[in-house]
Amino acid sequence: MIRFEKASVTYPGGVKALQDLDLTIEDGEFVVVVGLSGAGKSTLIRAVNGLVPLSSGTLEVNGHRVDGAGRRDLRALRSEVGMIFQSFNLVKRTSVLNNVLMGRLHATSTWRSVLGLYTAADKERAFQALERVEIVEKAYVRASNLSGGQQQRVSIARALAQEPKVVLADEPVASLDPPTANVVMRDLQRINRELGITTIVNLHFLDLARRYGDRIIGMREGRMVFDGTGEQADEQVFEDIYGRSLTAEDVLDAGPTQVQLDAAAAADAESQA
Amino acid sequence: MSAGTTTSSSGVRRPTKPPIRWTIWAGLAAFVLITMWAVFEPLGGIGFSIAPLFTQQATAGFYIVRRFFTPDWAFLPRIYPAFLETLYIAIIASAIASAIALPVSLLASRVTNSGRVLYGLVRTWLSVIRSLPDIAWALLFVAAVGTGALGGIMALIVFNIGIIAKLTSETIDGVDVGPVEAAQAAGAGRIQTAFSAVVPQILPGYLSYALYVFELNIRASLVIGLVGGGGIGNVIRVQLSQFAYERLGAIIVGFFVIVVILDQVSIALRRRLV
Amino acid sequence: MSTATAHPPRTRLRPTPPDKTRKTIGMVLLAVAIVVCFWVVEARWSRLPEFPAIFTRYLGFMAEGVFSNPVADEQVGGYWTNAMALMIESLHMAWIGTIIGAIFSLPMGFLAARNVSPRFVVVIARAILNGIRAIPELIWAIMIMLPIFGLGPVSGALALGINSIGTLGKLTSEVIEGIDPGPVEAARASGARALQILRWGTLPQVMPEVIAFWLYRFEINIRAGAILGVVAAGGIGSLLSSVLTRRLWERAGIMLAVIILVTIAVDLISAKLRARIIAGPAGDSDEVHGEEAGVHPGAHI
Repeated sequence: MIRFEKASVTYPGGVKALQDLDLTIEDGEFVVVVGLSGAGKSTLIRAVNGLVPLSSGTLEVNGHRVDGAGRRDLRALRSEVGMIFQSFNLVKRTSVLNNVLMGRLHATSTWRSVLGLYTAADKERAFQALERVEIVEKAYVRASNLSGGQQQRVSIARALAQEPKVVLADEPVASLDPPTANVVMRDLQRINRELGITTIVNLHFLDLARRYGDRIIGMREGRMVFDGTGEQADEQVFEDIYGRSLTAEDVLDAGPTQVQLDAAAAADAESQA
Repeated sequence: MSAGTTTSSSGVRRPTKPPIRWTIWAGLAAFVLITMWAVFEPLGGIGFSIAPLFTQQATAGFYIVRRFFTPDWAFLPRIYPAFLETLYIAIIASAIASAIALPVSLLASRVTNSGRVLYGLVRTWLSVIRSLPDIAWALLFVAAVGTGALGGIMALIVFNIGIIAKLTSETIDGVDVGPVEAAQAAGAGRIQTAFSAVVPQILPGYLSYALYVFELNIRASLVIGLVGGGGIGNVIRVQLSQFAYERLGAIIVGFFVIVVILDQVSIALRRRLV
Repeated sequence: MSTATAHPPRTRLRPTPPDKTRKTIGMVLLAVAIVVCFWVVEARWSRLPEFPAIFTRYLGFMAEGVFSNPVADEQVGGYWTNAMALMIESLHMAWIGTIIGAIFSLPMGFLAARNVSPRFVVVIARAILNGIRAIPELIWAIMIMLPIFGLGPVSGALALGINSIGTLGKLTSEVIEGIDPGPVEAARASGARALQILRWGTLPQVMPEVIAFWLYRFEINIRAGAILGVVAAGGIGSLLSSVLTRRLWERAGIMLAVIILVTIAVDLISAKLRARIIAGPAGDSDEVHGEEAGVHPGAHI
């Protein structure tokens, strides 16, 4: 369970990125956070694993107190929380497998990780994670040789290799084309359903948010302005969250047909060949 | 900046030519003054002049120069142990220095070291190391541990750490910080983050700097040996003290053949790294 | 891209790890080579354990020299002024060496640039520059300068100067080859003669970087000059050599302190100047000085 109570974040410049947030997310939920850029989505997500410290209020994640946690406590917390980034954040010069194994660092001693000596069990976990996102055949390929969609799946595998209880995804599809974006969102959804991992995703496309979000949180100027199901989040709600009428840029596409999904899969298969 | 304007026949105002900045005048004046200070002996300078070129002394000098250019090739085979020693010294120093310089560079970049005090200390220490030339280190270590290869090796190690750590830490400053954030988010410690997210990115650069200091060490062996640090420079010192210019000529030519060969090997290796 | 067949049943087999034999063999060979070097080199490794104590002691002596009161102790004061005077001589040598290098390397750089000079000139100019560069200052000093100009800083300055021509010439030619061909074409199109093109099309583009190289070379020459002292070609190196050979640690500490402080100070000033020259005068706004740079390209000098 993740519980924010009166949580606020003020950045050194005085920007109030999060104000008096009260929010509880139960285990296994799939939550989509929407809002304009600068609305505090990213701060919310980064607060969960302590990348951004709270200025006031409390935050509890799976029984860990995040606010005021020391370095050691934060590491323990982060080992249970996987994270996926907009720009994938892979080490491009090294192999896919080594990237996924970064998810096992929390369980590896320092000297072993310096020498790159991961245990067989950790390698097995990494392979299984790669299999789950269907990219295991690329295990020994350099990350730089993959397409954007493939790189994002590797970064999902890296998060899965942690065997996390929570996955945070900060704009995971913002750098991807529409068909690939849908493939990645489906992966995240599948992982949430199959493994019961609590998932929080930042999105700014309202159609994706509605399609994949069981629960939608609307953020505006650091405050939560909406909390409801995907069905409740109609156009009017989004206009409230965005503070303006909707434009074509707020939607990713008309929605994927099975044809598009297949085409994306085929394009993937081709680039792998 | 626009001091004033004049009006042309068309009525459009023309800008006046801006005055040349005073900093440029000051710079030029400083340049001329420093140069005069450096050149003229009465002002405390070194008395720079090429007049000796046209005197009796130069004629005698040219005779010596000519002796350099009639090398005594027969001497070369006798000094191959010294060449080998130069090679050993260069390899050992580059290897140890590279090993030490990697953690030092990680401490000398803000990307991998957020601790202010340690960062400041390491940076200061590195700039002190780099302010002394190889010859000073060689003199210092030879004085401390006696003549021989050991002093030379130690001098080169310290000298090399300064170079590799500077270049590598600059490379670290420029890495993609995304993977660093990802490693932190995955619960990795600071050392783990450095070695899993940063080192793979800088490895080619770091290795090519290691090869670069190897090239430098081969050249520096001339200087190191001259003050008693072992290697080919040692032979040069002895022959120079005996005014054996023909032998020196041969040694120098032999030395440069080796430098060129090793440079080519090193360049080929470096190309494969990138 | 047909939709019906584009969904292949994917067999997700784990790939076999790439063969690492060659890499492993290479690493082992390198390791063996390094170990062999330790083995065969005639260094007294057995003395290594004593060194921490030795170094601490000598460092203590040097610190004693540096931190003893130069006003109260006349001898110590003399050491400081003496070291400072020789360091200034080193700076003078480096300065003159850099000027010699700058004066001759600029035309050489143009001659060695492929986009300026005809092919056979480039080949010859490059051969000369490479030859000069391959021979270090020390060799120039003992082979040519010392016999002809005698012992002293003049030989040192000349040796530094010759070597600087080589390195600066190469860097200059590389900068020239990297210029934007637009202004050159524009100058040619307006009917400018070859030298006019160089003066108004090429030179203004390369000058900031070339001057930055000169300053950087000055920093290098200060360090390189120390070597020349050992063969009596002037500068602080000769005294440092004799002081350390006689193990006068207190005095050596003072000399090293002077070298370190002066070198770091010059480096800092030079780095500031270089940054400023590359960036253009501080506080420039595009609309005011963008034009000026075009009208007075020489202003950068």
